[in-house]
Amino acid sequence: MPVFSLRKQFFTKPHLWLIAVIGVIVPRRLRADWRQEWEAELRYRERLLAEWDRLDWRNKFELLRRSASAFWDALCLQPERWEDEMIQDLRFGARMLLKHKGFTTIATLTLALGIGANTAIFSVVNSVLLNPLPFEQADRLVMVWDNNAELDRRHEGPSPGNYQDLRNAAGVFETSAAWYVTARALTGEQDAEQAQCALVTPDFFTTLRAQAASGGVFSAAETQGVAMTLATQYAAGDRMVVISDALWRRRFGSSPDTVGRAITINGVDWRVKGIMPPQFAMPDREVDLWIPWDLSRTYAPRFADGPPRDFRFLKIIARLQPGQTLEHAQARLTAFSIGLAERHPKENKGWRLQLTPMLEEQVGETRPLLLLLLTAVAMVLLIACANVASLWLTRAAGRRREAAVRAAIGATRARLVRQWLTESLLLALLGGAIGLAMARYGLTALLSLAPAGIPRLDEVAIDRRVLIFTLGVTALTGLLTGLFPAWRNARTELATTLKEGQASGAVGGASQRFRHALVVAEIALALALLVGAGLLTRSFARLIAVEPGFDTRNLLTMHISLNGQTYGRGKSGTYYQQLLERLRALPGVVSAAAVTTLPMSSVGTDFVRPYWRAGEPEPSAAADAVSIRMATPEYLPTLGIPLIAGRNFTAQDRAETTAVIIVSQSFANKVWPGESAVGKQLTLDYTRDKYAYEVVGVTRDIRYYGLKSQPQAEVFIPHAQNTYLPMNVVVRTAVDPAQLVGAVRRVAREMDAAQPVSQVNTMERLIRRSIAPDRFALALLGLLALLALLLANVGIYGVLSYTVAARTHEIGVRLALGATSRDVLRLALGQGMRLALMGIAIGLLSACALTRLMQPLLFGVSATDPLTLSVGALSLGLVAWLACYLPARRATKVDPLVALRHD
Amino acid sequence: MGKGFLSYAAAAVLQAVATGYQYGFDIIDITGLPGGTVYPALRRLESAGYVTSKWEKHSIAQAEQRPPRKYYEMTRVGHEALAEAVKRYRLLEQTLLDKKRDQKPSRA
Repeated sequence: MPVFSLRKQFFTKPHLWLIAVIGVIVPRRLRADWRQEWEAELRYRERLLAEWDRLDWRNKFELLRRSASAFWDALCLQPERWEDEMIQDLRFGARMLLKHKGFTTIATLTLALGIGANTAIFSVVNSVLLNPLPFEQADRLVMVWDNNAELDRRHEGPSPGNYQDLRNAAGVFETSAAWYVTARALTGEQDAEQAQCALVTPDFFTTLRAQAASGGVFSAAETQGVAMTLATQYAAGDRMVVISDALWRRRFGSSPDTVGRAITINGVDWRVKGIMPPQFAMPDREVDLWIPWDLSRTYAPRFADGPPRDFRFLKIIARLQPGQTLEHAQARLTAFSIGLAERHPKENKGWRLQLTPMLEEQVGETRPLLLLLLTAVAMVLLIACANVASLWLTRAAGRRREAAVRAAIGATRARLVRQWLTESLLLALLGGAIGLAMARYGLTALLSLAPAGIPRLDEVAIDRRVLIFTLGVTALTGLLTGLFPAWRNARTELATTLKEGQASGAVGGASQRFRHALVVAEIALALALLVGAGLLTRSFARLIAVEPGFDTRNLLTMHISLNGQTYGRGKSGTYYQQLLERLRALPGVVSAAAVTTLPMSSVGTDFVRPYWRAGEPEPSAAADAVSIRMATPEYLPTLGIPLIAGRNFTAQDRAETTAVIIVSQSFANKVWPGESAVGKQLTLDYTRDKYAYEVVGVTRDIRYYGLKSQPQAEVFIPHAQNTYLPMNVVVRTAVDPAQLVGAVRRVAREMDAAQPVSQVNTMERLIRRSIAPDRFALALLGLLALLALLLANVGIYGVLSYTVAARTHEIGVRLALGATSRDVLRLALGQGMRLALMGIAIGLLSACALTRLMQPLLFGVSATDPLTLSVGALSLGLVAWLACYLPARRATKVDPLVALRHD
Repeated sequence: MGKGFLSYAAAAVLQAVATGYQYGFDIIDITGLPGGTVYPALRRLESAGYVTSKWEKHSIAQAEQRPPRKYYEMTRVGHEALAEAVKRYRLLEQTLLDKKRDQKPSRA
């Protein structure tokens, strides 16, 4: 509508004028129809009123009021405008992406890598750290540990006596249960096998609120009086057992009538009460059987004043009372421990019970690794974003004319920004979709590589939360990559650009600075990752260089848990003696021995018991303790643990001869500093009769609990003097130990088919397994660091190439005026390296800032290890120099004649 | 609008069209609803297929020296939807309108 008539209308027919004005905000597609409908109605009504002669000022005002309501109508049409323009933008964006296939492919793949890695790692973090454990109100489940700061003993299982008191103490927990895992032989129709079996106190399933998949779990009332001997063999009570889904499939062939059938455990028949669902894995996946266990009945016959208070070996789980906070429960528990220490100072002085949320208990150790990986993938994504943003910026420079033309024919700045953001979001969405697919398959590979040490990995899945995360990351990526280029693009000075013709060499100040900032950020991020990977490498190198204290090659290990009914009362000594003799007779076997606990292996029983020098009074309060192991005479030579003083055990050390022990070096130095330990007497509070043992030998310290552990104080007792049913057998071979597995199993079967061997392994495999999490962390972070390095260098190369291309004219002038190609090289290289150095400086600072994240994963290396930092910085500098050198060399090849003719 | 329920306002507008009030302003008059409600409702009814719109003949408009007016007509589904809506909003049943007579505008 021409302007003059509009103005005239304002005075003569304001209602029509209003429609014309409001029509401006109606989407263009609908505007003409919309205006016509309103105008026709208004004019029709106006004419009608005039005909009836009622066109007075009141009705005129009414008409105006009615036309004003068109404003609300127009407002309702606004979403249509967005839809319209969005579809337009999308169509245009898609066309542009299709047109520039090279750009689209590179940018999409870069983003897909970043988003995919983030999705994969986040789905692991989500399932392992964020999702609640698969129990009802799992956040109320806690574990209870016993700590003694004075004796530096931490995270030990409470003792049966103390637990009995705790369970009876009102108001601390809703329910609680204890368990103890041990190996049992399953015999019967099928081959004998060793199964992990959890002895659980009656409230175990109630506390977890777990139900059986078929049959039922046992309740507290049903299990009254199921007692075990001290060696946890069956003694009395109703024999019922709950079995795992895995055992049901393996041993019962998933038979539907399993519940109620008998299962022979260590020679005694038990009735299957129920089968747990497949996802039930408490205390862990290895456990196949849950056997009821009445603590007071078990200890009553042997301990007059109740279960012992200083055998700390139980695992305790408890459910907090509804509405109770962890702090509150902990306060009550601390008060309870103080009471215990007052009532029983000898066993409990200095000991304090401590709560850990069950989730924390299961995944706490994995958290640092996962958080580090999540940080690392986020950094890789940021680098990827920087690269793509830089690419967009270059595209923006090439499309300045397009933007100017659009602006000239009426596109607003907001519209230009929106168009550009639509394109970058479209690209990010494409990358996100591919990334999601990559994550889906990458996750399978990741999980197959993951070490056994990471809990809950079988629960990992791409669920709704992961999808939302990915969508969020994708949207953020689109914004991050597109926002600055979009803003730059919209700010284009119309007149200049249109006059300039083709986008020429003008390198806009702001975009150039932004590009440089991107390169600096990329280098900094890549360096931080590189340093992280470097630190893990150093740490891993330290770890594998650790001397475990014995010869780890050619050792075959296995576990045998003898049945107490057949082999009790000392008969196990004869069994193991004969077994070892037969093993030694096998071709390829150098020697064979048995011990209660092997180094580097988690299988076996550890006794940590108080001791004192013979002749001194028994300590009244909780005393220092030492690890006690039973071993056959061949144990030390078989493992290659050297004796430092004295003699080894011999076949003459029998039950009826003098009780002897061999102690570890650091223990000897601690108890008898400056003296020879050989010939000294030591009392161990181990059996019911506390008597003195004579020290006959001293061995070198070894690292029992893995390469990262410190050597422990140890005492060895000859197995013949203190027979023990479950033992670990170790065989030194002259050939590859894996070849002998079959022969060794056969020998054991021939000895007694009802006593199966389990946990057959080579020592080297055990060690490899113990460092598997470190290897995994190193491999992943190394991969991410490499990716980051690659992306960052592609980034710096791209930016420098662009700058050199843009400065061709200037370089041409310089060369024409007499600059040598050396000068030009220095100019271009200098610019790139200045950015690289800035990035390196910032990267070193950020690497130091990430110390806290790294430290828990490092072994023997400080997170600010100067060597790693400088090597990282140097190697990154070198690679960056290469990335700068290539475009810089191109600059020296500029022909001044061509360059000057450029315009 | 699709399958979902009609809002009360939309049902009232639909009822007005069914009763013969075919022009926007007439519907505003008869329902007493403001223009900012009636027009969006008409558009939604149209996109749902309950009404169709047509422009009146050019000759009429030309004679009166104004643009052609738009009028709305019921469709078959529109009648069904109205029957459904009347069951839902019992008030509409009670206010069932007589077929439109030619009338003087009481107010603008």
